[in-house]
Amino acid sequence: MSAIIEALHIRKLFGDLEVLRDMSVTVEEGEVVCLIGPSGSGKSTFLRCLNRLENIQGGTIKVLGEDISAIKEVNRFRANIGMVFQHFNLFPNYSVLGNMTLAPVTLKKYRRQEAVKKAEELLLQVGLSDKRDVYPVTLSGGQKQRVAIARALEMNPKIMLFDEPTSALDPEMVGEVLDVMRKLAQQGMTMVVVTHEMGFARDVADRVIFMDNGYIVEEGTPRELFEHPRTERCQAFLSSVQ
Amino acid sequence: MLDYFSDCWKYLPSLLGGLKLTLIIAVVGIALAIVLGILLCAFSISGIFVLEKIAGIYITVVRGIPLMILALFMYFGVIKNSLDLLPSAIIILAINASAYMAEIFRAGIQAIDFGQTEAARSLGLSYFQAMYKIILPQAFKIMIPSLMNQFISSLKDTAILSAISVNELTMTAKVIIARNYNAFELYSYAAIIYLIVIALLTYLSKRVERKLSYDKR
Amino acid sequence: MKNARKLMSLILAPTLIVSVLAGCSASSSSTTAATTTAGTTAATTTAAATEAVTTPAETTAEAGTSAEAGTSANQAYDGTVYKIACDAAYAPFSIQLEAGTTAPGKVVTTANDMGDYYGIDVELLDAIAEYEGFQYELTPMDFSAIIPALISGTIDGSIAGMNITDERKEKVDFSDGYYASGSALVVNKDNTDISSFEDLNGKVAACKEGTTGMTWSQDNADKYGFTVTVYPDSASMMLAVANGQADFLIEDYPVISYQINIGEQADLKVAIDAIGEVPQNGFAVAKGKNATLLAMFNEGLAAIRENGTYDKIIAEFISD
Repeated sequence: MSAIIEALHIRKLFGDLEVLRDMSVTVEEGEVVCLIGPSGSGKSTFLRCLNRLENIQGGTIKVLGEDISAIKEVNRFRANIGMVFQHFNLFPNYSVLGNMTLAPVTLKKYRRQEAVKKAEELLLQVGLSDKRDVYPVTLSGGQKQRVAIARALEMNPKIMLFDEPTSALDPEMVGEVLDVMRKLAQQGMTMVVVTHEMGFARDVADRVIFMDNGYIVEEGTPRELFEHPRTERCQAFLSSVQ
Repeated sequence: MLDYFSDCWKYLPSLLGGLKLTLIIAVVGIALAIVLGILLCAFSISGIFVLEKIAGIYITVVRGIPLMILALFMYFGVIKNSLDLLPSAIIILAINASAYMAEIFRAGIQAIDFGQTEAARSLGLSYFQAMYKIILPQAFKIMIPSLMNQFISSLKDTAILSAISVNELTMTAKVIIARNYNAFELYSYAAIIYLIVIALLTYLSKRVERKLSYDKR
Repeated sequence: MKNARKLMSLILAPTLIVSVLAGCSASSSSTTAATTTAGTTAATTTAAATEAVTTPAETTAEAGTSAEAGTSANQAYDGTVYKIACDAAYAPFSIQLEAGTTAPGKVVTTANDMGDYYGIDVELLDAIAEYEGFQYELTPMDFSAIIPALISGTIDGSIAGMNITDERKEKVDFSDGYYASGSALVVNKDNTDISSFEDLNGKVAACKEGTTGMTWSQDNADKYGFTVTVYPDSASMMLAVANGQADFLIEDYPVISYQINIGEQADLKVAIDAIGEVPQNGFAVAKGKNATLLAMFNEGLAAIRENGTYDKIIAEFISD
C-alpha cells in the first residue's frame, strides 16, 4: 500500500479567517477515511482543497504522487477525483444519462456509445436503471444522490470525495445512499468522506479523523475513536451526536 | 366614429413602411446589443479588476442617460456624417440596450447555483466547457422573459430615434399628422400596429420558453 | 370689509401704474415683484387688476393702457383668461429667456407677461392683449402639438409663427396675417453646389416636423429628386445641415436670418431666399370657436400697426 493522498501542514484562509491550521493527512490506496467534527470545523474545506476547488495558502498536497499546486492541467487532474456534494448538484438541463455522459464525452475520455454502456452498468449498480432517461427534477433526494455518485464514477476516478452526502436527505433516504457507498468501499475505492453519519463511519471507515476549529484533534481506527476517545473535545462531540 | 377610421387603408402603406424600419432597427440593434452585452457580461464576471471596472462604468453611464440624449449626443456629437442614418440608429439602440443586456446576462448567470459550476469542474470540465454546457443553457432559460422584455422595450424605444429623423413607425404617424392633424386617428393606427407586433413577440417568447422547459418532462 | 377693499385697490393701483411705466425700461422683475411668480400667477394678477378697475381708484390705471373706449371687439369679452400657445422654441418669434437675464429687446411689459419668454409673437400678443384688455396665459408648446391642442380645446388660441395655408384653414380659423414670413432654402456655409432647385437632385433635405418647409419638401421631393428627413425641432434640423448629415433645410426666412445674424448658426447660409409665394403668419383659433378672441386680435393688430408699437417690436428682431 502506498500513500495516494499526502497533505502536509495545510493552511487555508478565507480573508483573515484561518479555517485550516497545519492540517496533515495521509490516505493510503483503498483506504476509507471519514472526517467528523462540528460544523465550521474545516472538514468540507479540507476536502475541497484536495481537488483544488479551493487553493491553499500553506503546506503541500500530493495526490497520486503529484504536487497539486504545481499541476498545470487542473481539469485532467480533477477527472481522476470524483466528488459528491451535499446538494447533489445534478445538471437540471440534462437527463440522468446526459448528466453521466456529459463529462466523459466532452473530454473525449470515451466515445459516446462506450460512455452510455458504462453509464447503464453504473445505473444498474446504484439501482436506478429505470431512471436512465428522466430529468433530475423528477427524482427523490436519495435517487439524485445515487445518480451523482454514479456520475462521478463514470469518469473512472481513482479517489472519491464525499462532502456530507446524506446531510440534505430525508432520513428514510439516507440508507439507500450509504448502501451504495458501502458497496463502493468494499470494491476497494479510496474514499474520503465528510459525514455526520457516525454509524457509517464506525462500520465502513478504516480511519476516522475528528476535526475541530481547523485542527485535527484526534484520529484513529473507528474502534479507538468511538469507543476510547482520548480528548475531551472528541468525547463531548461524540456524546452530543449520539 | 367608423367613418373616422375609414382612411385607415390610405395610410397603411406608409405606416407599414415605418414599421419595417422599426423592426429592422430593433432586430439588428438587439442582435448587436446581445453580442455587446455578452462581452460586457464576460468583462463584469471576469474577476479581472480593470475589465470589471470598464464594464461597470459603461453600464452605469449608458443606463444613466436617457435614450433621447444618447441619440442626440451620438448622432450630432460623435457620429456626425461618418455614418448613414440607419446604421447610426442601429448602433445607438444597440449601445443603449447592451447595458441592459449585460445586466440581464449577469443576473441570469449569477442566478445559477454555484454548485453547478463546482460539480462541472470537479468532473474535469474547463471553465468554458462548464459555462457553455451547464451554466449558460440554464441561465438562458431564466433570461428569456427579461430578454423578451428588453426586446419589446427596445422596439418601442425606436420611437425615440425620431429625434434624429429616423422615419420609423411613430415618426411616420407624426409626419402624417403634421399634414392632416388627425392625431387621434393616426396614433390609434400606430398603437394598434405596435400592439399587434408586440403581442406576436410575446406569444413567440412563451412558445420558446415552454419548449426549453425541462421541468415538466 | 368695504374699507379693506378700498385699501387693497389703493395699494394695487399704483403697482399697476408702476408696472406699466416699467414696461418702457424693459424690466420684468418689477412686474413679478407684484405678482410673486410669473406664468402661473397670470390669473391671480388679472383678478386683482380687474378689481382695481372696478373701484374708484382705477382712473389712473386706465390712462396708461387697457380697456380703451374706442375698442369694439372686446364688448363681448367675458373676462376669460385665454390659454394661448406659442412655439416652445422658435426664435425670433418666441424665445425663452436664459435664466437670470432680461429680454434684450422688450418693448412691452405688463402683468400679462410670461416673464420668461420674449420674441415677435410673444410681444405682439402682449401688445394686442394690452390694447384690447383681455387676459391670457402663455402656454409654450411643441409646434406640432399646437393644432391638435386647438382642436381638442386644450388651448384657446395660438401665435406660433404659423403660416396661413389652405390645408390648415380646414382645421383652424386664422386672424389677418400679422407677419409675412417667407421660406428660405439654407445650406452648409461650405456648400457651393446648391443655388437652384435643380441642384437638389440626390440631396438630403432636413425639415422640422409640421412646418411649411416639411410640406414643401414632401411635395417637391420627387420633382427635384431629393430625400426628406424630418426632425422634431429646429435645433436638430439645423445641426444636421451644419454636420453635413443633411444637405439643405427649409426654414422661415426671418428665423434663419435672425439666427445667422446673431451668430448662432455660423455654419449655415441662405442659398435661395424665397421659396414659392411668401405666406403670412396668422394667429389661430379652433375652427368656429373663440370668435371674440379672434376679433379682438384683428382689431388690436390693426391698432398697434397704426400706433407704431408693431414696427417697434419687429425692429427689435429683424433688421433689414
